[in-house]
Parts: sequence; structure tokens; C-alpha cells
Amino acid sequence: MENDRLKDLAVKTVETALSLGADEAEVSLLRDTEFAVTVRNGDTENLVESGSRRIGIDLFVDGRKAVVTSTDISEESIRLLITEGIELAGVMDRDEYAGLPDKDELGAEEGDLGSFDEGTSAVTAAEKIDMAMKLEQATTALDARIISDGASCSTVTLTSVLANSLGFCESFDRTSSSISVSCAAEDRPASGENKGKKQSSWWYSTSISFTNLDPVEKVASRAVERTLRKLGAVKPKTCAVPVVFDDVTARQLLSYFASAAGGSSIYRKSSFLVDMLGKEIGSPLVTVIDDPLIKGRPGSRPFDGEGVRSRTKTIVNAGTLENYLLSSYQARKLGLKTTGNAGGPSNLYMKAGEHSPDEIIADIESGLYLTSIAGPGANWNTGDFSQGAQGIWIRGGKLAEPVSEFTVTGTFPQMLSGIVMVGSDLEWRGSINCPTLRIDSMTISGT
Amino acid sequence: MLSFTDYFEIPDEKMIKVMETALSRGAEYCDIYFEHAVENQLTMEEGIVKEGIKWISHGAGIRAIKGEGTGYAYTEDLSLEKMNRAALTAAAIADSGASPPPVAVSEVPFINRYPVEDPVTGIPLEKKIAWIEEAEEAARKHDPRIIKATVSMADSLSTVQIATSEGRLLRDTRPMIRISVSVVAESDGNRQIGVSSGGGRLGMSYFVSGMTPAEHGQEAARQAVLLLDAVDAPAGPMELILAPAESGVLLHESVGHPLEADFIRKKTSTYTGRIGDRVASELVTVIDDGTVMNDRGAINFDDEGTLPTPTVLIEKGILKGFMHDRISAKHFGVELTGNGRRESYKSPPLPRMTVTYLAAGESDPDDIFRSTKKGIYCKSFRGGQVDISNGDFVFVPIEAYLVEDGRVTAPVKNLTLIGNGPDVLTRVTMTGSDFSFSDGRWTCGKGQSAPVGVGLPTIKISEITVGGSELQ
Repeated sequence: MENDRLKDLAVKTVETALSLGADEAEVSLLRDTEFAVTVRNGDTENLVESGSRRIGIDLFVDGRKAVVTSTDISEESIRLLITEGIELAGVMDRDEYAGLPDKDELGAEEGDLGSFDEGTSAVTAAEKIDMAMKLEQATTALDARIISDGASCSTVTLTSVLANSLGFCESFDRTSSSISVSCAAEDRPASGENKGKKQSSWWYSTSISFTNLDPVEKVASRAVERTLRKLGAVKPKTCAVPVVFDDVTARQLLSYFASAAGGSSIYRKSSFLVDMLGKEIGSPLVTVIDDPLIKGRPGSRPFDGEGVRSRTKTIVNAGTLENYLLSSYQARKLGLKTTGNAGGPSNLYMKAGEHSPDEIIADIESGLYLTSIAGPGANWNTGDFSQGAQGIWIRGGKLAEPVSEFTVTGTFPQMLSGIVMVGSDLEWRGSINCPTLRIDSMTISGT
Repeated sequence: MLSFTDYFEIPDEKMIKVMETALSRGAEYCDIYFEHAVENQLTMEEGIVKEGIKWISHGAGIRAIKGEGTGYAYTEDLSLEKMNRAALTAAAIADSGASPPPVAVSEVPFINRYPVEDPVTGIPLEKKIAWIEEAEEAARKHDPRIIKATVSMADSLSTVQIATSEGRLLRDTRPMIRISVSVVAESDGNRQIGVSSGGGRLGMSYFVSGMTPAEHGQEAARQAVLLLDAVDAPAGPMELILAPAESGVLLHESVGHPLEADFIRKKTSTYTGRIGDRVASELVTVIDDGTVMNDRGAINFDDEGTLPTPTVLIEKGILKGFMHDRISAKHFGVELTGNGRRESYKSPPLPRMTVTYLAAGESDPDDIFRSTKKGIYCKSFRGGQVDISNGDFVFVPIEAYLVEDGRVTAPVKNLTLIGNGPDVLTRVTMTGSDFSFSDGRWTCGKGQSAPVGVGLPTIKISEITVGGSELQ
């Protein structure tokens, strides 16, 4: 019912935009309600509960584009906003590629994507607080060395409505629930001035439905394991060795890849994947798929950010780059077709390989198992990759001592073609997912 | 100029009513944060002014505090009914007991750290377009190898009003300007990116007192072209020289974040319980100061209504204090430092940096270079990140060079520098006399984004791990 009201408002706003002088217009309305609680040491520390809304209007006047957005959705304010937007568009230059998507691309994929869970809005604040409390208790109960940095539980309900002057008008509802816990433990450095050193980590679970979240015990044990295994970390020697990205760091690598394959990086010539369509960019073990139509996944959607019907596509097929992630503007700039990726990737994942993580490290005499990468040194614009890192050294095929305060350096092209093993452990924990990866060699800079 | 009542027609009685509701279940304190923000952005790329964007945000956030617990709710509808509903939600952080009644509000005077006669928000579009065209042209014409230039200019004006249950009422208008140029240079299939950006809590006078649009264009182009000839950076520990101003990024990450008092209160920072300890070389004095005029990180008062003061964090190597918000200051029984900041009305405040800098030393910068046998010299940065608990931090240069036998030689690329805050700061062996603040380009992310400033003189660190690809 509420959605119908929002859809009416969106259509009406499109009409207003046209009547005030726009040639084409697109209107998006977002409405969300959020609840988030953080508990620490058994007390509620932060409780946020609210709802908000926002309207965004893309206006095209004679090939000139302006975007106006506001939190005020009263009719009078919207009218004023459009007037200002049209004035703004008037001083832009003409862009022959600007405009709405082609009409035949528009549409909403039918069928239930399982993105909305009725039950989530019925979960009470008390239940969510209790969930966070239980998660914290489960975490600190596992080991006396663990200090809690807080456990959280949050839920979000989001409605998005999109309408444009080509007659498209659809709405999409989604829910999301998540729990997470952060913890730390005292560390005893062998040398140096850092007398207050600690190690910390965290873990989480996220799901469309509150009832499908991982059990708190599972989340707690992963957070504690990830913290305690860092204790006593040493700085490794500077060298070049095989590097195994665990599923957390591999996921980060794939999200950098998604930025490199995004249409805006490509047409701006700010990506190492420029001019690589149809070419080999990685090892034959690498297959990457963007699939908005998988039921019950966090990135599923019936249409993209500009109303283009969702479709499944292969981005990398056995090492060959088959598609970029394109909006219709980016596609026109490149002489290609939209891939339904206005707003970015949907559910992007690397296809699982055949080896368990244990098998992947089994024949590494000396190497690095990478558990954390940090910093802005992953430069997909140029292809350079240099990141601060933490991990566990591999000796004789087994995980040995923890290592920290070092960097891993290489380049994206070398790394992608250097993938010699892909794990069988593809787990869905967000919209970008990647199994464990082994790269033949990277430079480690430490002592 | 803007008038507050244009945006918030909220009589004092109404604010008191809402605060009474927020205190109705036993909270000790509450505040209301009203915000009306207008932000404009113009982008030019491929030789055309391609897109104009305008964002308007308007709302109020209501916070209730009981002990160290915060209840928070916000609303974009400022009717008494909706604000009361939000206040009731926030009130739920407490579940019983009596609250002190809210005190009648009266306006708190403050010094304006960014008096601006000419906020960019009010400048005609044609004028702004002329600026970005000037920057774009300068970048493109700098060198035939420049193949792309993108210029964006953002300006905002945010009107803020804070009322607290202790009777404080503060109203502020916060201007901001930021210009950013990004260029791609290409030669024989090698593509490199150069960037230049700046601004502050200024009006159009930024382009007089700071860099002009054309200078930003040339600077971005110069960097991109320079990097075409850069060699792969070495790997391993070596000496490090940091140029003034932008290198403050190192400070922001290495000691700034771990000295934010929420991490101290939660005992997760590596500096927990170390007040009075030597944590850096005696050449190191670090200050956080929101009163730096017109700086991007300057504040007239923080987002819980506290006036800023220079806060000495480290004095001659000794840890002196932390950056506090209301909750952490109360926890430790210390004075407020004016570091409670928030991204918008949608978020409760957190301890955050404002303008964080390392005070000038006495060394002649030339001597710093002369004393360096083999090292890296960094001038500008993409940014950094820190692990609060163990103190490991990274920062990533854009423009960096090898230093060999006292001389700056080849530019290097593809490197991350990594160090451990408490260890690295003991290795500051020289601090220059050439202090300066960064141009207004930095935004800090800690769950919420916040504009910040940094500053530093030329300094030398005797050893840091340089993460390049070339094994020595």
C-alpha cells in the first residue's frame, strides 16, 4: 500500500519534471528503517532506531544533465528542487551519450528473488538486544584472554522505487539483518616500545532474514579464533614467496577487481582492464560471474539502478575478460550494451575450484597465508598492488607462526595470471564472494 | 546570509518539550542536533562540464545518555509529534528512574574560526564553471601525454543548531569548498594517475589564499607525467624523509586514531593506560586543534556543543592526553576536548580528530636530506589506515623518490609504507623548522566520514618498512 503511494509520487514527480522543461527524467525514492544496537560488557552502549527517506531526480534537458536529491519529499519542495535542477542542467555542456536507458532494456525481472523477509520487521528491539548480549557472552566465554569491543545486532528494511519518463515504474523491497562482534587480547611483544600492544579481530553474519543468521556460537568462535591466532606475531623477512589469500582477503581482492571492471573506470581509462575485453587477463582457473537473479542473496535485484532488467553474465570466463560491469551511459561511451550494472555489481563471485584450503597450502614449503590486507595501496587504476598485511607463515605445508607489520606487493595482471589454485570454499556472506586463492609469488616486505 | 529560523522554526519551548520526552525514562542528559545541509558538485571530464549535482539534507537527531549508553533517533520531519516520537525512542536507553529536568536553553558565545563573506554555495554557476574549465585546460595543456583530465568542484553550506539538556544552545553556519583534479598520463601503454585537491572552510577566497584552479590542474598533470618515469619501489627497511604538510597523514594514522578516547575507554587501543609514558622520541610533540582558522578540520564547536581547544596529545615524546567526546571525558573524569563529531543528524557523535599536527623542530631541511644515506622521500599521499589494537599502520604515497647519499634521485611507484606507531615514533630522529598545514583535502573514515586537517614539518624516521616489489 505504502509502496503504491511512493510509486504515485515518483510518477507524479516525473510528470512535474517534464512539465517544467525536462526532456527526460528519472526519479528514485528510497525509504528505509534501521535498528542497530551495540552492547559491551553486558550493557547496551548504543541504540539507534529511525527511518529516513530521500528522493533523487535525474533531469535531462537537451542532452544536458543535472541530478538533484533531497530528504524533503513534500510536493512544494520537490517542485522547487526540479526548478533548480533544470536551471543547473541549463549551464551544463551537451553530452551526446547522456540520457535514459534504451526503452527495450527496461523492465523488472519477475519472480520472487527472496529479498524481503516479512518476519524481520516483527522482531522486537528486546530480541535484538538479547541477540547481541548472547553473542558477546558467547565470545568472552570462549577464552579468558578475550576483551570485548562490543557486539552488535542490526536490521534494515529498504524500499526503493524507480520511475522514468519512458513509462518505467517499479518498486523493490529488501530486508537485511546482521550480527557482529569485535574483540581483542593483550599481546606481549618480544621487543620494541609498544608495551600496550593488543591483537583484535571481529566476525559477523548477515542475512536477508533474521532467523537465518548464523548461530551466535559460530560467529563468536570465528572472532575469537581470528584474534588469538595473531598473538605473538613477528615481522617476516623480506622475500618473494607463494601467497594464499584466505576467503576474507580474496573477497577484498575480488571487490578491487569489480572496481577495475566497472564502466566508469574503463571509459575514464583508469583501469588496468582498459582495452582487455575478449583478452586473457587471468589464469584459466579464474571465472567470475555477476548474477542478480540468485534467490535469497544479498545483491539480488529485479532491475538495476536505472531500471534495466537484471540478467546474469559472466565477467571472466576461464581467464578471458568477457564483460565489463556497465550502466547504459558507460556502455554508450564504449560502444557496448548495458550489462544492467548501474549502481555496481549485484552478486559477484568467483566460481569455486577443486581444492580445500588445507590442500592449497599442503605443498608450500615456505609461504604466506594472508588473513588481512589494509590501506589504499590497491591501485586498480594503474594495476599496482601494495598493501599492509597480517597473516600466518606457512612452513612445510602447515600454518606456523603469525606474522604482521609487513606488506605484500605485486601487480593485478601478475596476480590474476599467477592464480595457481582456487579453493572449493565459496561461502556467501555478502554480495561479493570469493573462495581461497593461491598466487604463485608476491613480494613480502618486512625485516 | 542564512537565517536559522528559515530552516528550524523551532521555538525554545518546543526544544524543551522534546528534551523532556528524551529524559522521560531516566536518561541523565540529552541533546538535539538540527542540520540543514546543501551541497553542490560540478564535474568536468573529456572537455565538457558533464554533470551538476545538488544534495539537500534536513533533519534532527536526538540523543539520550544514561551512564555510557546512548539512545539515538532521528527524523526528517521536524513536527513536534515526530520529534517527540524520536525522543521517546532515544529515551529507551534508560529504563527507569528520575531524570534531571532540561534547563532552559541560552545561547553560548563562541569565536568564529571560519568567517566567510562569500560562501561558494552562493556564487553564480557560471563562475564555478569558469574555475573548473581553467583547471581542466591547465591539466590538459601541461603535456601531450595527458590523455584524460577530470575536475570536480564541491561546495557545501551546513547550518547546525544544537540544544542540550544542560541549557546550551549553539548555532553555526559551516562553509566548505573542495576542488579536485585527476588526470591520466599515458606513454607506450604505461598509464599513470596524478591528483591534486584542496580547499577548506572558505569561500571563493580559497583560490586567492590557496592554490588557483590552474595550479591544481598543473600539479595533477605534473605528478602523472612524473610517474610515467617512476621505477618500482624497493622492498625492505630503510630511512624515510617526509615532506611538510601532507605527510601529516602518517600522524593521523599512527597516533591520531589510537589516541581517540573511545578506544582507550574500551581498552582496545595500544595506548590504553599509558599516560605519562614515553611513547615517542623527544622531538615529537603532537597536538589536535580545531581552532586553526579556515582549516578543513576546523570547528567553532564540536557536534555536541563543546568549544574546541588545542589538545596536547604527546609533549616531547611523553603521552599527555586523549581526544574526548562527552562520554569518554566523563568516564575518565577529565575536561571535554571538543572532539565529539558526527557525520550528520543521522549519527551520534564519536571522538574524532580535527586538525592534528606535529610541531616544528629546529633542523634545517637540507641537513635532513644530507644525513640520509639510503631512503625514501615522500611528498604526497593517497591515504592510510591503522589497526588500533596493535598499532600497525600503513600509508601510501603518490609522489615519492629514492634518496641516495643525501640526494633525491628517481621517482618510485607501487609502494605502501608500514610501521608500528609506538615503535616508529621513537625513531623520529630529526624534525625540520619548515612546518606547514595540509591543503584542505582530507576526509577521515571511522564508520562516519569527517573532514580533517593535518600538518607536519619535514621529518626523518631512521627506519620504516618500505613495501615495494624490488628485492634488494
